Amino acid sequence: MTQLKTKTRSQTKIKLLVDLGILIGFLIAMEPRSRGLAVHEWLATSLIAVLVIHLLLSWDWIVQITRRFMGRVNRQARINYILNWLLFIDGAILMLSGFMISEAVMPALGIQLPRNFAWRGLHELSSNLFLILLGLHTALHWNWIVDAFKRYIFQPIGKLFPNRSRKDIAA
Amino acid sequence: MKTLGHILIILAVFALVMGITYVVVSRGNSSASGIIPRSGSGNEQFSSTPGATPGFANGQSLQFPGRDRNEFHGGRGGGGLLFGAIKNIAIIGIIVAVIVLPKSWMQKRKRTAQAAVG
Repeated sequence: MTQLKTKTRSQTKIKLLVDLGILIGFLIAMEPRSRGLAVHEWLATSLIAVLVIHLLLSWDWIVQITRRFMGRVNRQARINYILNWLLFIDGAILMLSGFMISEAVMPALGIQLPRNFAWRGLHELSSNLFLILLGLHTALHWNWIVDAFKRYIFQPIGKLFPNRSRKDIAA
Repeated sequence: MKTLGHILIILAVFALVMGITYVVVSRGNSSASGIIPRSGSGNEQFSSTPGATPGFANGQSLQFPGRDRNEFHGGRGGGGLLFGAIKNIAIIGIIVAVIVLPKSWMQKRKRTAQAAVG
């Protein structure tokens, strides 16, 4: 039981770090004009690996809901599941359209692709949609985010200043 | 081994979605008007004017509507990144607030009503 608790705790900690990494990486990648196209493309490509880790950490939940989706699942889990699929599909479209208009990653790999106006439009559309879906994904996990931040970021920082915390409690 | 299997499943589904998208977009644009060969692919020999985009009439060049992709190369520095990041965080924050605040307000109201009944 204690081992299970410790495993869950360390998994939550890793999940929080991975999610923070995804958010920061995504925010930088969303602004290609500020850091240049090469940084945008390589960073976005490397985000695939981090997203795979994110999915691996939620694997049990994904399998559980996939099996029970047609049966008894609470409403929030069902909405969450559909939203996650939309996010996954949109992410795949975003990556593909990005590869198709790539000017750094694909040429570096020696791949030349024909230019097509549709891919650029699709890339912009899917990136805007991804931002909205990411907002919804964050909103649905807000309680988890707040709990994890309290436990793994605010509490350890609070422990660094024990005197001040005691004063605050006394006040 | 189990993890490797999971990774392969994720990548396979990812590739499947990408493949379907590629087929749909390619079919939608099967008419050659939207497809222009990338410069350097060997087809630029047909454009007689320097700077002209292959596939366009002499002197005309490829222009995307709105932002020009070439402007990305220079980089705008940290200010642009900060502004863009704040804008994107604000969008996410607004979406979170729109969903989380009414939800917590309703939960509070429900709890108050239950306490009043109890």
